[in-house]
Amino acid sequence: MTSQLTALSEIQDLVEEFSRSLLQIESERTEGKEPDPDLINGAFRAVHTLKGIASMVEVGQLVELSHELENCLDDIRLGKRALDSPSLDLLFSSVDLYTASLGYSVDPSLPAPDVNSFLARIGDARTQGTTAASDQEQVSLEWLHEDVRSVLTEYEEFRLRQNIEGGKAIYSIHVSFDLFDVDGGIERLKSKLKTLGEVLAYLPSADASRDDRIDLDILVGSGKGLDVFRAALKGETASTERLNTGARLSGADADVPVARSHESTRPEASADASARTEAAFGSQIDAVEPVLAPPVSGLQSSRKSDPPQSIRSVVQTVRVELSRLDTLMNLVGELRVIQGDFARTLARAEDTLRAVPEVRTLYAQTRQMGRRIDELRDRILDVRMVPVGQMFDTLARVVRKLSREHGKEVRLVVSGEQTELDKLIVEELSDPLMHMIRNAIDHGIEPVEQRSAAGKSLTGKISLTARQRGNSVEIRVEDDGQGMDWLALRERAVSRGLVSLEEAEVMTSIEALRLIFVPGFSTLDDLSRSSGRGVGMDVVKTNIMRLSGQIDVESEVGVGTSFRLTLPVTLAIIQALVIEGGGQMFCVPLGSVLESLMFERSEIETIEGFEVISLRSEALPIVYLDRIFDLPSKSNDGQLYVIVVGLAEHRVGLVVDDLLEQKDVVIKPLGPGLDAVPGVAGATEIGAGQTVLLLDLAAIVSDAVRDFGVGERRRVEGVPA
Amino acid sequence: MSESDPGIWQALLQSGEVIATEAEYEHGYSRSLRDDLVRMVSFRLGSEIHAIPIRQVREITRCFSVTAVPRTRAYVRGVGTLRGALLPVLCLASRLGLTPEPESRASRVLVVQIDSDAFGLLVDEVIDVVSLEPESLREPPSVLSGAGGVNRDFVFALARRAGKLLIVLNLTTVIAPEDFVASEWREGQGDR
Repeated sequence: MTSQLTALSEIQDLVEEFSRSLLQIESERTEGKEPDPDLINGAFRAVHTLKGIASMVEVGQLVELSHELENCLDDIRLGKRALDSPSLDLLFSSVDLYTASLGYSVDPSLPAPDVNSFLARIGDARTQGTTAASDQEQVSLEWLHEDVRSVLTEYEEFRLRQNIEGGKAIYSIHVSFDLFDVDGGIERLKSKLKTLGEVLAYLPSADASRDDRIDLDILVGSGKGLDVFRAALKGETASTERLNTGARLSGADADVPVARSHESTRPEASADASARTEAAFGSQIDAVEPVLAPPVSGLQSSRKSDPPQSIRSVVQTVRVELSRLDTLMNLVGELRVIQGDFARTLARAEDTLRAVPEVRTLYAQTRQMGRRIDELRDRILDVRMVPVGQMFDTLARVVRKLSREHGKEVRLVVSGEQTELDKLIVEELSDPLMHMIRNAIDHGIEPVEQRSAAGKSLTGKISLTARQRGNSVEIRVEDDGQGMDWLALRERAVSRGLVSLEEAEVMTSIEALRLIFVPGFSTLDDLSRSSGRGVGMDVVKTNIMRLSGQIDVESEVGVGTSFRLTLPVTLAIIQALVIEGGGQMFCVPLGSVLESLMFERSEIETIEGFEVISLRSEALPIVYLDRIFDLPSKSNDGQLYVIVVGLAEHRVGLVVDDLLEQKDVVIKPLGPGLDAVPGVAGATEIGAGQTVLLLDLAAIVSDAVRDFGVGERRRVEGVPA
Repeated sequence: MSESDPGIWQALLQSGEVIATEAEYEHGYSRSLRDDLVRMVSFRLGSEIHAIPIRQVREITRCFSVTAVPRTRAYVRGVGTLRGALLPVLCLASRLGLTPEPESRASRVLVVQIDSDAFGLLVDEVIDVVSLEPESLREPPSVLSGAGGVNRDFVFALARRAGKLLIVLNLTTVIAPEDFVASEWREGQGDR
């Protein structure tokens, strides 16, 4: 079961890698460039590896799908098939099919993906596509030595021909590496060569003379002259020659030296070389493989099969299910509780046994243990963190698909992909973000004609930015579309009966914009296919609130709209404020507490029967914890503690009996039955077996907002009118 | 860690498990073994004796501190932490419509398991483990319904043991997590 899951998540990674390559290919195409052959190769490799993994676990028709795709990509990279928009569309639709197949294998209640019709389509496309290209006259490769030609793969041969047809010169670079520095050396050389032209093939050299060195011939196609190569490779143990291909050259200078001009420099000190090694394993394995093969010609058969791609990464990383990390987290939490009890017992003993030096030592040691446990907890938290980049990639696909469907041109600009968030939050976040992006494309970005009339660039821009700010992560979704007209929003809310005319008149632009988060408020009457169906920003808001996050919106007509999400880095452990209310202890997430205040009971005023206090000249609605939970009220001689909680755009004051302490707590779910109690989100153990409930501020605030708020008006129970 | 009750293990030994005596070794077994006996933990609630199948009982512990959860029905005592895991603790007497006795030295929490979820059931006293012949179990009389006492759905069967009535409970209907939340706070109904 576990290995099945591991395989599935590996497949998912590969699908993402595949999709990333496709997006890059597409963006290069739209910029009018010839897509980098490495990208096509990357896509091919991802699908190939995927096929390998899929054949080990039986998941739907992933093997057949991958097999056909692999063939298709092979044809593309061999030039047998054009890389045009129809083929790209076909490839992109395969990504969705993969995702659907994976989803179906995990949850059979999801619709089964229709792989067969896709296979038929790709098969059709292949038979049509291939004939066109294959009857072209091929450039002769007679000039290449028979030994060399026999070891070239079909792909290498094709790229070689492509380069010659493109008027490029072909260089052969002979290099020699120390056996221990091959990886680094090749990588270094490769990055240099890539700036000069296209690396076509790595050939094991026949004249390897020494056991401790590895010699290679590298074929490079380039439009640059021999002197440029020599200058660039200065300092490397390399000699370069230009091969006489018999073709007419363009660009490069015309003199074609026939003889090899060895100008090898001395081998570098290998210590220096290895110090500079910057290994990026995944990308270089394809380069290493021919090197490791015996340096004789006629290796065709062994070179044909691709090497296993990710042996290194499999060794260095381990996939862990989140539930296992939760178990560890719980254990650490318990350990901390035990340590706390221990420390308290010792503290009591210290009073009576102050004279015994061991007791004091023991006390110090216990405190140190506490710090170590905290550190352990933090390290476990680190493991749960994943970069948001993965989620951004998925969103890039959504942007692409939707902008096509809507016939709009949209560019997605992403930054801060490295920002890390708890895996669980990332999962929960992708739906709300997808919805916001859909909204941006649907309603934000204008059609091309409208944009050109407004003097805007024809391509709309959506930017997705993530960055860490202290203990929270801020994600912005911005578009440069038509923006929202707050006056129109306000009017609409009135016409829908969500706010009264009087309320609307005193509304500020910010308050009016926040109306989009009110249930039942939708800006377009005809619900469009992607973001319609009655769910809207209110669902987004609820989801964000569930993650203890906040959402804010800014918008300017004609300029664009910007949403800002603020999220905690993790939910597994939270900083909590322990409070007392109705004679019972509770804790609240500190992140949702904006401030805590002390008030005189006499400072409470009422607005239409609803109690408020004024905070910096704004009316803050208050709710009593003991009243909402039907707990016995404690009479506080005129003094009230109020914690101001903010969730999404709302602010409410929660009246409690006392503020006790701040504490890092591990939150656990309440279990079956009790998890349905509104207003309580979980519980934690605070020393000596005492369980303390965590308040679900999202629910409490939204109840309060419903009672006070813009919608139906209702009195809070127990509040004197 | 577990504060398991020595009495219960004693009870296990006396519960009809065959322990061969020396005489039996010499003269052969005199009793015939039955392998279809249903083993139950019997416990006291007020003056009534109830029982639940032993395979549903994960452990029996002394009472531990339980935190009340608001917006739940009266029989939900709250949530407690047992060996790091949270579990709901129910007052079985009030669930069955009996008057709960105050907690005493004899009070115990039966930790029972339904599927993979654990629940704590507060009982007044654990009596012993009994082995019952399946044929000795009787259907509860239909008069039970509407009599204001125990809901018939909660009773799986009745049996007699040493002249005393033994009420075998149906754990699934007794526990019913969907009933925990007070009706006015349930999803989609009541005044929220």
